[in-house]
Amino acid sequence: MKKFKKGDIVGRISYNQDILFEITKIIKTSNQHEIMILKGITERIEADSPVEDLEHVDKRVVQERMKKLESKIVNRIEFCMKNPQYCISKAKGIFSNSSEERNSTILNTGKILHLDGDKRYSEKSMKYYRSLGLNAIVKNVVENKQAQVIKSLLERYQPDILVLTGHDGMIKKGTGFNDIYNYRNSRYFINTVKEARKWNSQGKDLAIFAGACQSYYEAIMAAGANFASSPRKNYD
Amino acid sequence: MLLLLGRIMIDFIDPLIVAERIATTENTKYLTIRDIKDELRDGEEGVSGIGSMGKKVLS
Repeated sequence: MKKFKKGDIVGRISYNQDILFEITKIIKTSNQHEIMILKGITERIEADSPVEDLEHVDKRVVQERMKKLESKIVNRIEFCMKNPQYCISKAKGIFSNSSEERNSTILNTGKILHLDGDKRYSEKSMKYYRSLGLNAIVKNVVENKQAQVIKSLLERYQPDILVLTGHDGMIKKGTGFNDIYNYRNSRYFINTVKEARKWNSQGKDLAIFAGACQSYYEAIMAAGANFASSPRKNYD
Repeated sequence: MLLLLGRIMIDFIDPLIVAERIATTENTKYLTIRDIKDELRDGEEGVSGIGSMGKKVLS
């Protein structure tokens, strides 16, 4: 019998280890089976799995995937610096040699408040915004607490753009696309968007992105987001 | 027979690109998903929406 503990990095045998997960919770069922709650280490996905379908992943494979994630961030930053016409067309001063011009550009770009349910992703997001010289605040707030703290954070930071991310995923695949309880965290993103829009109704024109992997796109948009994730339903 | 499995995954960096583009687009312009889709992993299939006004203040 394989032994797993919280924090182990694993892959699902039935999915040919397509995604690497960290075990975040172990649930014991009444018939003494163990169900593992998993969070993607390079994807914004949450899933569960019986212990029999899991195997430990070689450290080298984990390092390789982490490097790949890092390189996505670095590549994007390099792309922006080389092609300002694509991503920072109207904020060229961000990469100016003059500190005066750089500072005024930072002040002029929209202010971002980003809540991420994953600590590792929060850190990487901050690194990304900083590298581009953007005016951003990133807070690590778990998905089910985001709605509770959003009002005070909006009042404190007065952002122009709100980003709500973390992990998500469908519980039963291939069914229940319109059932909010078939999504692990979409309802928390929806509630947070609604709370943010209440604050927004007091005169601030807030742009909102919300969602993670496999989120309930239609419901997040209906709650008032400008952009949301996972509109496409997958066929295989 | 096709089997409906679930919803599409997004890239870690996709939400950051959307936020970055809104932040650096002039506040006189409306940014749509079509302006951003080519920079996202699966384009409009991974992220979509109604768009937003840019947030960069012209000085």
